[in-house]
Amino acid sequence: MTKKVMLVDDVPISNFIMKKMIHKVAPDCQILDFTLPEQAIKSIEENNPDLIFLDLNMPVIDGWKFLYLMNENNLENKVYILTSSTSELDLQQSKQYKNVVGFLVKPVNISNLPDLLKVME
Amino acid sequence: MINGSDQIFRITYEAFSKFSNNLNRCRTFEEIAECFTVNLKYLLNYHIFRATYCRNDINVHLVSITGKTTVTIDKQPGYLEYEKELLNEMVPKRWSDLSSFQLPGYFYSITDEQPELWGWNFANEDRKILISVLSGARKRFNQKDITFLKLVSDNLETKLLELCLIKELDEKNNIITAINRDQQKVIEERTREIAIKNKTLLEISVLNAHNVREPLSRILGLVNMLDDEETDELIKEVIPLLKTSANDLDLALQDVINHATKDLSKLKA
Repeated sequence: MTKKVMLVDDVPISNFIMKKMIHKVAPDCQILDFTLPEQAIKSIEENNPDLIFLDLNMPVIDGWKFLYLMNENNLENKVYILTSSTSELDLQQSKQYKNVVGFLVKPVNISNLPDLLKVME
Repeated sequence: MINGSDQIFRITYEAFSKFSNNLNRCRTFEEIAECFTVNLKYLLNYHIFRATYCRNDINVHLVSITGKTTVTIDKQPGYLEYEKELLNEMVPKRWSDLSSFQLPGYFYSITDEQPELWGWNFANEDRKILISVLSGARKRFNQKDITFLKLVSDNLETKLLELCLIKELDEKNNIITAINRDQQKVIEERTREIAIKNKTLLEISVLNAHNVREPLSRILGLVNMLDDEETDELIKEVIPLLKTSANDLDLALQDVINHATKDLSKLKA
């Protein structure tokens, strides 16, 4: 069965980079990319992605709010937090959410990507 | 051979020595009053002994009325009329007719014949002390007593100066303590302000780092992409994105610089 990966980042170029890399290491993966988190959250129930790459720093709904809303709606899809810069505080905060499986700093090294995607199996 | 007047002089001198010792030990104006009550009657014949001492805004009035002495301290000099005359004329005076003066009540409590009021202005440099003595037939002040009166005046003046200086020192100490306390408060306030500013600056610098890192992470991601596969198609696709991201990085840095410059000029103002 085809795996579905969702990208949530307000910057389209960031999604472009992730899309290209995932496509290269896992050509069969279906990729759903969103620059508007409010649309992404609605589409989770419909598409039930196997994995979500989530940016933290976004206007209106930031990554934390996104995780909170997922939790509120009992959405337990696995999430990688993917942020351009990070702090120890963010790392600690992410541990509150059981569905967060990792904390990544951009850019993701393509050689690590196959391992990262294994969480979907 | 000691004759009668020498004998009297010796006794008076001993009395003066006692007075002087006693006065020396005084630490308060009340103690001075007590010393005069106890000792003055052995030195002079008088109904009323009055001393007025002024230093800056401290004005001391010592009044000894047979057996009882009071010391009052005032902001105002409170000179009596005859004392003003002494101040103006700078010579010792003696009045037999007191009816022309308006005097405090205690002057009228003395009923004796042939009242006489003596007055001296002992002034030196910035200190002045006025001494006056009311005598009468029953208690006759004598020309010879002036020697001891001068000594009493000198001693009293020195002691009053000492107490005034201590008082001034205490007041100045209080002022200094108050200033120190204020300064401590100002320092604490400033330290708190600086701590808040430091925290704000730290937050700004963290925010700046985040904002700058975002477009940079894109540039790195795009460049890594070209490492693996350099097809013309990919290059054509990636170059404009690199350009956009580089511009975004430039904007983020300009933003940092502008804010820092603004904050810096605010600090200087």
